[in-house]
Amino acid sequence: MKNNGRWKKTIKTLFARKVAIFSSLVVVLFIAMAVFAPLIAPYDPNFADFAAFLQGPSKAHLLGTDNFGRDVLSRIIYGTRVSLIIGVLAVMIACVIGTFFGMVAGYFGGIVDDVITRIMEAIRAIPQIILAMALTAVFGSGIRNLAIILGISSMAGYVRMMRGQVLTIKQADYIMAGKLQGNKDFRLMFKHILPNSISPIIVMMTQQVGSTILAEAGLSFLGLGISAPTASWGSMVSEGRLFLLQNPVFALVPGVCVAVLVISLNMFGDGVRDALDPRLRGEV
Amino acid sequence: MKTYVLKRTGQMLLIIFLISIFTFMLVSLIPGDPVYAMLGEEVSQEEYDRVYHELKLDQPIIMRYFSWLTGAVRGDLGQSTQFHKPTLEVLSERIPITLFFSLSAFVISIPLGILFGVISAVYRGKPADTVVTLLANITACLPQFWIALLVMYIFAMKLGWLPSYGFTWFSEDMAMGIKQAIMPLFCLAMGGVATTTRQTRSSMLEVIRQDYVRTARSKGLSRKKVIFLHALKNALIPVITILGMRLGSMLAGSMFVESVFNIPGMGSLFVKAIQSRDIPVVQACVLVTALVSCIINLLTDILYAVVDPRVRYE
Repeated sequence: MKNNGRWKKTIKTLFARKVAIFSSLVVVLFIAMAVFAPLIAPYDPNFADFAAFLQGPSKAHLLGTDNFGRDVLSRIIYGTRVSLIIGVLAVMIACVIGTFFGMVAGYFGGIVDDVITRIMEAIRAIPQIILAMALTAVFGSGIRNLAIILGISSMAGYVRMMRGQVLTIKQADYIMAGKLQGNKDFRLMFKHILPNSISPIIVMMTQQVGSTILAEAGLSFLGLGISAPTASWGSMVSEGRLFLLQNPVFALVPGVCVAVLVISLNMFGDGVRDALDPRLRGEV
Repeated sequence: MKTYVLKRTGQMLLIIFLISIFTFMLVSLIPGDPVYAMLGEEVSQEEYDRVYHELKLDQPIIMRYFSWLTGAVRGDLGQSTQFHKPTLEVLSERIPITLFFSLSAFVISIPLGILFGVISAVYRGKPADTVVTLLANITACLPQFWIALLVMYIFAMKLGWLPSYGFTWFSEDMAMGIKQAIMPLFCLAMGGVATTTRQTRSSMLEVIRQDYVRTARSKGLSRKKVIFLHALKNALIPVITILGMRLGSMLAGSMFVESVFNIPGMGSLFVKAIQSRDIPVVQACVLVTALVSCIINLLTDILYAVVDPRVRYE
């Protein structure tokens, strides 16, 4: 467990900052909201009270009701689940595929590298949300498909980062020694190169969860993501925009939730980056 | 320089070729029968046969790709299944509108972002920096569609100052055109200002620490001169690299803004095409966006090489 000290130090540096503590608290709050949604939510998110359409905030409904008489607060609480699940899953998918291809490209070089790099450049040339939209046209949406689609459309960054990492690490003496010992290529990659690139991978993952959640909200807003009756923040904004005058809270609050979660995730990601990068430690 | 430009152009052509394969594959990737997926299950046999033949599904995939590609190069991107018109015709009315918004927002946001970036770097740690950085960080995380709805709620619905939707070319009705363009442009430009500010700030901070900046100051040059003539010039080099991406995200952002403000541009067309599985239009939109961002990337790469000669020799 030679790395224990390093991780301890990283965590210590991370939580030495107020911003990191605050942002991680907010993130934990959202996670708790997602996990305990059935306990916290005052109503069933899909329960339609036909006697109470589009009501403004009141004691019975803290954030009012939507056009079907459903409780907005309960739907927001359940919407946290969708955002977090898709955000985390998509980032994991992007990370696994991207890291693998980046490692292969950097390690083998030559034509393998050329092919992978060109394909990734082509993927990067299409703006992520547009690529994701085109893929939803083909594969359809839903939580599972969205996670895969957003994962695929954001994997190019990992490939690039990992390729750069491998190119540097490959030069190290211990890799050469490992090669001379007769270790297999994939063993070297997974046992030696991968563990040594773990910091930039973690940094990239924490920084991507936010933008993925933003992308999911965007797709759902356009009606290409999570569809009714499942509550998701993006689709709530989209449903609510038709009733801005009657109950502005219905459309605007889910957007605030997206923003707060994404800001906290990004601040937390910045903290992780600073803590893991020795050059940035101690700097603002 | 010439070899560099040629090399980059060659790479761009290769990328465009790869994108064309991907775009073409969109039809083949559809699970199940693509004709049913595009037209629905209740399609007549005649219609089915027509589209089946039009998509050339009776031919091997490589043949299909090449006939699609030669068509695309000649401007024939197939028939839109929802408008029953050639795709290019549908697109040609809408592309100028999207380009107008993306390019204007781009032109507005870059100088503003650079200005704010310089201010916050020069006054690092002071209240001005805190305010600018905080606002930039928050803005970069706000969903664009949400900003659009918020300004629409405030300025169109509550205050009634601006029309809440629509688009008019300036040549048709100047006053109306400007009124309708303010909110969409504001929403599109905001994200650009935020990212450019952050990038400029961090690269300015890096440059300000350099020896030559200190030398320039100790030589007795004024602070203003050093900031704008020495530091900013070098700090802008990394900013150039994000310009290409910025325009790409402006194009992406126009999907949301056009959809909220009901602007008949390519963004709203793309969304409609996906909802109705109008694959030829989806393909065309992806192709056009990718083409525009490839060209912009190429231009920024060349610009990068012009301002930073080191790039050319790598």
